[in-house]
Amino acid sequence: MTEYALFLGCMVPNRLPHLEFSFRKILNHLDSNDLVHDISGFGCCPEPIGFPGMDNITFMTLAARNLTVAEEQKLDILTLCTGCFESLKTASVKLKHEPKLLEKVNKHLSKVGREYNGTVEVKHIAQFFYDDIGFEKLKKNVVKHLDNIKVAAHYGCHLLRPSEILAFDDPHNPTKLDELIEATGAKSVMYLRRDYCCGAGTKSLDGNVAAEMVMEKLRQIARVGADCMSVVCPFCFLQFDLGQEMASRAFKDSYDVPYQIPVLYYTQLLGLSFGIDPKEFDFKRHRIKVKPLLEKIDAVAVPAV
Amino acid sequence: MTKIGLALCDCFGQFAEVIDLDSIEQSMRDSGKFSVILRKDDFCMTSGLESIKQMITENNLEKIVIAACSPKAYETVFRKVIEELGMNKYSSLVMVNLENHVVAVHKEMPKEATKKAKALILAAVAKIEKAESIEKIKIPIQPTTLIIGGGIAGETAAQELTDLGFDVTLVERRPSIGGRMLQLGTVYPTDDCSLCVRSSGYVGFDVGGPRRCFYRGGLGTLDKLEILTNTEVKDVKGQIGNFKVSLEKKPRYVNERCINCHKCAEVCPVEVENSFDFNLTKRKAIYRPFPQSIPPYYVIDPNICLFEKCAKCVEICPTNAINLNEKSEKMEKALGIVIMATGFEEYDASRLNYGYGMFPDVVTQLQLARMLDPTGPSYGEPYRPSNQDMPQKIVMIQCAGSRDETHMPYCSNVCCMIALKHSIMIKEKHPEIDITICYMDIRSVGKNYEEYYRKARELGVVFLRGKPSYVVDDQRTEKILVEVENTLTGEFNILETDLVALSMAMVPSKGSAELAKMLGIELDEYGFIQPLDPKIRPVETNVAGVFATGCTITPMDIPTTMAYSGTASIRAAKLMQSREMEKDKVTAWVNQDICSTCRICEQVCPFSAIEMGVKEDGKLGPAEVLDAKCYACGLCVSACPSAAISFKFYSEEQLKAEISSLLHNGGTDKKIIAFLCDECAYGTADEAGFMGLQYDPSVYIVRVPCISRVDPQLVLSTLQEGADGVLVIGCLKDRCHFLKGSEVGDLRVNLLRLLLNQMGINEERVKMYFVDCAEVNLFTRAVEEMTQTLETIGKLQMQ
Amino acid sequence: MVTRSKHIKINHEFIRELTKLPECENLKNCYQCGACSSYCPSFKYSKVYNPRKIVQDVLVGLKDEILENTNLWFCGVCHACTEQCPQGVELSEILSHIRNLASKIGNIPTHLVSEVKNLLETGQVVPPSSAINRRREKFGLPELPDAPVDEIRTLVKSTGFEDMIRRKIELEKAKEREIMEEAKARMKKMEEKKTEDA
Ligand code: SF4
Ligand code: SF4
Ligand code: SF4
Ligand code: SF4
Repeated sequence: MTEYALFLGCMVPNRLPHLEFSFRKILNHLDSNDLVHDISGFGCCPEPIGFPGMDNITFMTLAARNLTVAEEQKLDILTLCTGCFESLKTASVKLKHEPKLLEKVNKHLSKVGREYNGTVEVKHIAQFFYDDIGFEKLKKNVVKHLDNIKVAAHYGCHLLRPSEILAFDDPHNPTKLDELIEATGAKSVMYLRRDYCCGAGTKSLDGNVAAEMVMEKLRQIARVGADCMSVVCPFCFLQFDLGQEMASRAFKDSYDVPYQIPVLYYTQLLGLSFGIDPKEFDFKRHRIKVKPLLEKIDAVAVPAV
Repeated sequence: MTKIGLALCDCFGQFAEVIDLDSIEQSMRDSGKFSVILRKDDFCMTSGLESIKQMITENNLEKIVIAACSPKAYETVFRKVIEELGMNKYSSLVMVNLENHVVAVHKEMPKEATKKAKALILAAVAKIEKAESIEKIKIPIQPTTLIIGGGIAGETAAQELTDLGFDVTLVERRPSIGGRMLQLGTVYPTDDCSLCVRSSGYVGFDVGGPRRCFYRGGLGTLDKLEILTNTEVKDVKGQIGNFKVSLEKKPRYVNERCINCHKCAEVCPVEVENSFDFNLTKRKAIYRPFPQSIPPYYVIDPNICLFEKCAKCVEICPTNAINLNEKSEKMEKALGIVIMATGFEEYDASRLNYGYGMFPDVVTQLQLARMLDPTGPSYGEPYRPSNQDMPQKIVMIQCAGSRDETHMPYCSNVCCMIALKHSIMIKEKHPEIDITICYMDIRSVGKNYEEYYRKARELGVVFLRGKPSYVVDDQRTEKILVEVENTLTGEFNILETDLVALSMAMVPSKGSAELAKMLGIELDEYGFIQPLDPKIRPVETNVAGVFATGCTITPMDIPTTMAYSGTASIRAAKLMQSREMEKDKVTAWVNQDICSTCRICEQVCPFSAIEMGVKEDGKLGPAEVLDAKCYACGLCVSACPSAAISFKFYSEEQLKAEISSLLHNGGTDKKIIAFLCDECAYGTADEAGFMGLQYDPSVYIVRVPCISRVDPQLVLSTLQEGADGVLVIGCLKDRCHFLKGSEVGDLRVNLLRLLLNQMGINEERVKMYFVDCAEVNLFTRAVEEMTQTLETIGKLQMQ
Repeated sequence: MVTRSKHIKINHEFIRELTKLPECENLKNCYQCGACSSYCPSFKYSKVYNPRKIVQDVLVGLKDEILENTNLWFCGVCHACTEQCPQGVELSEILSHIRNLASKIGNIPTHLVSEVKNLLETGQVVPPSSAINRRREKFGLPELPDAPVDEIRTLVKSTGFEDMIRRKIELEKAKEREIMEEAKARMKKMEEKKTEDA
């Protein structure tokens, strides 16, 4: 089995530790702690939106630095955030296929006594659950079929695109996260604009643009009667959780707001189906109340046989 | 000893300006190879031809070398002359191209030129000495044609051929012929009913009139036309003149006693989407495909029929026309010619982001065509499938799936015109309906076509330049929303509409790939039939005797299809009219004792001309060349690992003798052999002569049919015999006259270069080039590059 | 989005320069269909940022107009345009290269400048906080290792990035100063006028 260095990034550990907790909890529950290692030395991924726009070489160099940290330990990288995933995966793919770029980057890295040899693979936890853990193991641990709820999957731009580099799933019609959601017994519902952006990327420049995007997604999700959303990125999480509340306020005249669609990080959803006590996940940190969802689940959830 | 004569031309004194013809004549006499030498300066004229005839008859010559101008210009003429004298035109004549290989291109080097001329003539002798006589073969051609596909393309070809007196079997897998055209309702450029077909026979007689309704056009009653509907082609074997075709006629369950009373459909309990209306409507399990169908009977859809569990229709049928136990019928037929006319279908619209399949009010242009058909489900009125209402606004999206690298990169040709036609039809009847066409470029090319574009604008159709990205719906208003940037204003638009019509890309119909495989015909990357030559031979395929017409080749409109079908019919008729095909046996042949049945030749032949034999015990037998299909390119000859395949013309011995003689007698300080394919490469060297370009006289040109005939072994032995460098020149890869020759040649030469490296021979000694006939200076450049290389690396010293 | 002078000469140099960069070669295939812009969420909602228009401007060579336009930074880097493009134009990559060029002349939005400041100070874009660390403890999450600030600083210096950002900061300060001075001058004038009036 491939072993990974866990790349926490900045948003998850420094703002949303309860998401990190849910992942570790699941890992523990699956008895797979030995697949994922905490190592020191990682820096900023760096973020894939503004940073590469300022200077691509610096972006590549800082990302490659992180790759060398894992390379030293002969580990691949596992990310909790799709942003980290895109940055690191882009770097690993490009450095593998563009020797000139690698040479340039290594020249800079040599100033801190590092060299990247192009051996590190980068995975996002969605892929990790899909490939490494596998459905058999996931399903075996499901004790509480979430049959009663409809979940809207939000993949996130940086998990899917550019598909040529990230190669996670079909960018127009992805299915993997849906399959992962359905492993819990829940129904993953189709909705329009599944591939639409959460808007996090434009937030710093224009909050309105970002809010419009959130609303457009929520409108489609609400329409198909989803009970909650499932995301795999802390930025998407914030956008839909905190952002939902804020956008609902901002657009209170033009949409059927406020929406109340709880947002769950995938490992939280998984945890519920594993029968982990919801209290452990500290759902009160969520801006959109999760309680109604939990009640709905418990209303009919049947123990799996 | 064979009696060989030499006809040495001076081209009205032109050759003597450069070469010393007396010295040449003397050397040839001294060589003792010729029984007679004739010097004149007008062999290409009547007087000259007469003198050749005289020389041959007077001296009882068996073979003749003519040293004059390019064989490309006069070989056919000379061949005809000697054939008249009873000589074999292939084995008894070799021409030496003094004009373009010597005189015109080495003007300043008379000494070298004279030496080269001598070497070329001697090589011609060496070649002619080894020439085997080539017999003629006759391939009987049955004057019958199988046409696959009963749409307008196939029907038209069937009419043409039956009019010309040939028997035709028209096979259609659907229960009626008629094809896509009948579903269109109204067609451009005439704006009339799509049921119109050309009538059979001669205008004014019998079924008369220039055009007729589909069901009145007499198609169903033509004596020479056998129509097999509900029938699939299961296998095709054999070659032109005698294709063995296996057919399977699926049961119709309703026979010709059917009087179309419709009682059966009334009682039939099962319903399904009606594919004739592109699923806009429903039909029963027992149904008539459409009111004018040919044959004019009902049919049962076996996929949904409940059969004996129900059998209600059997009970009610007043004429006892239904038999639920009908079985499918297998048929074997031998037919001379095959014409593929399998047509097109729309690209799967649900693969686009346009909400097709999600919103009922997003339809394709073909679905809209059904609505606009006066005999269609809504009697010619557009409607919203979701609620049957008349739409107030319609948006059409062009290039849906076409001109798109992620879907179909080509332009589907007819969609602009269809959208214009539909928008005009709607606007004329309902000016109050708003129509917006989202387009990138409107392609209404030619007379009477651009007029549609103008008319649509006149009628108030709005053209918005932009490719929509998304189609969604507004739940509250039940409108469809099309998101698009108007690229001419730079504004983001959300078009609110009631109906969206997608101008879908056209793709080859399902099943055409399997058919192509059976027939051995080449398809392009999108699954359309690859014509033998898209420019000159648009209806021929790589397999002799198999033709194609209509949208199975490329998206095309009806007038073009008519023209294609006419051409395909003429081509087919041309082959059938003489009832046999006469061919010189220059084709490849397999020495069956040596063949190891490796099947390599079968796979490499670009013309599907090789079939594996079957032994008595049913096991795989040695390969066999189907003469009628073979184009004599030589690809298989050089591909066969057991050297089991050979040519009588351009045989291995001939080529080796020619090369060895050249290297023995010719050359300056260096020797270069240039293998030129007989097509563009040889043409380029000729062209260099015509233009008077000068090049190094150490180059000797060896003609081969195609460079795929040049195998690494031949090049190696050429180097061993004393060549310092070898040029291999063929046609451009995508314009190879033998389709794959240049590509294969390239692979082989690259392999050879690797091998040379391993042997310690500089790989630069073998160079390969691809030319277009018009690229005159490529040949001289190739020679220059080779001589330069040889200057740096020196002569080849072989251990 | 770019306001144009009356007569524009097509300048092929910019596209030559740009297509030399990796992933930019296919830029020339653009047939201006607008599939990218019709999808681009940023265009849809901001109305000021249009990726197709940028390509069009590149094609006619409006280099300065493009690079000086601050709206360039409205791109959310969702890469949807790249996936939408029917001609295989890797638009989001190209736009990123264009922003690289814009950054060189100081066209960087302030939020990114402060992001870089954070990075250089803490090694992270979203720096840790003591409140969160307490929460981590409660969850029993491992203590976070220190970010490799020194290495990051060295690398950023090595690539010339630090200089670029410093120049940008200086530029901004200079602009601020200019504005301040202008304001002061205006105040002075007003006061002078007041006294005059008096
Ligand atoms: S088959 Fe039956 S229903 Fe059909 S036409 Fe004949 S009688 Fe009528
Ligand atoms: S010579 Fe060419 S066409 Fe003939 S069988 Fe061989 S490969 Fe096929
Ligand atoms: S990457 Fe940028 S330009 Fe492309 S669609 Fe997303 S926001 Fe628009
Ligand atoms: S989608 Fe591609 S081709 Fe169309 S305008 Fe955008 S970049 Fe150009």
